[in-house]
Amino acid sequence: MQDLDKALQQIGDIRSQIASSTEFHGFGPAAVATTGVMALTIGVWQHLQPPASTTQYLLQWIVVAAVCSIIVGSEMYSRSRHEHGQLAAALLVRALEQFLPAFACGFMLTAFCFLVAPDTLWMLPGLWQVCVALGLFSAARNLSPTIKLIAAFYFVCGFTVLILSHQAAGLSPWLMAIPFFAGQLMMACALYRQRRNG
Amino acid sequence: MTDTSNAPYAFEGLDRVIHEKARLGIMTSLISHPKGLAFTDLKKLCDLTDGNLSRHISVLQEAGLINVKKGYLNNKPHTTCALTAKGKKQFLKYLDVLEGIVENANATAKSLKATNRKPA
Repeated sequence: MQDLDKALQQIGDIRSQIASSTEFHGFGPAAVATTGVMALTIGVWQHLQPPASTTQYLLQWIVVAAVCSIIVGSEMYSRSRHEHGQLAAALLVRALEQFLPAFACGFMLTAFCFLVAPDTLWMLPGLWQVCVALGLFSAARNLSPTIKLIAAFYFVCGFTVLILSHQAAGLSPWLMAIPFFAGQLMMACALYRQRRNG
Repeated sequence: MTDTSNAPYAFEGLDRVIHEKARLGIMTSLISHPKGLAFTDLKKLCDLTDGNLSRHISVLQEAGLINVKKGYLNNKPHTTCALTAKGKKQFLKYLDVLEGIVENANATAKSLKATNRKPA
């Protein structure tokens, strides 16, 4: 019986090995582009109706991020089942493993700034962009090579936003809207090209 | 085509081309190297002679499961093999069937063990 358990374990290992060398096609260009448009929309809305406080500004962006995660996540689930068949589960686990550390880091930084050091809330937009960059760098191996360039874009944007928000009196909506609109649209284009090239 | 619904042990999904020991070794080696492997590397990994490896590669190539590229590296003949999309799909299908067989055997072995433990 131990031999049979070992055999099952080995089959699982082979499948994970295949997943590690397979390009992930679970991210949908349309869903990713939608998140970029949502970022621009909330940016315009915040520009027209400025939030009363930094907390309100950030909470609105957290809600948008949660909605975007649901959109991208649900499309990722259905697409990977359609695109990868028997490998879908292994590839989804791998994608989550790659993004989870950066996501957890972003979540913990948000909790820290809100609960422990509210005077550092101005840093969050820049830090979120750096976290997105780290998540993309980590996942780039199983995605199109262009994703590394987009990760670099988010990384540079993150630190630029940190400098700009440190110098400015309040947080501008464009510090979030422009990097996420441009970054998500570039990613949608890269995913579309990856899909077209098979 | 035979009806397999009443023959659970027919194992229709176990592709004969892949199921042979040496060819299974070649396919498993290639699946984790998407860019392909050189003939000499495959020979070492699968512990096969030149003749045996060539024969099995021909069978896999004829079935459309692998691609063979012949060229030159440092003025010496250099042959590389890589899985085709069909080969990858077939191998994953094969793994699913194999997993099903082992899972069934495992469940049977566990239930037999539980039955034997029951006091008379």
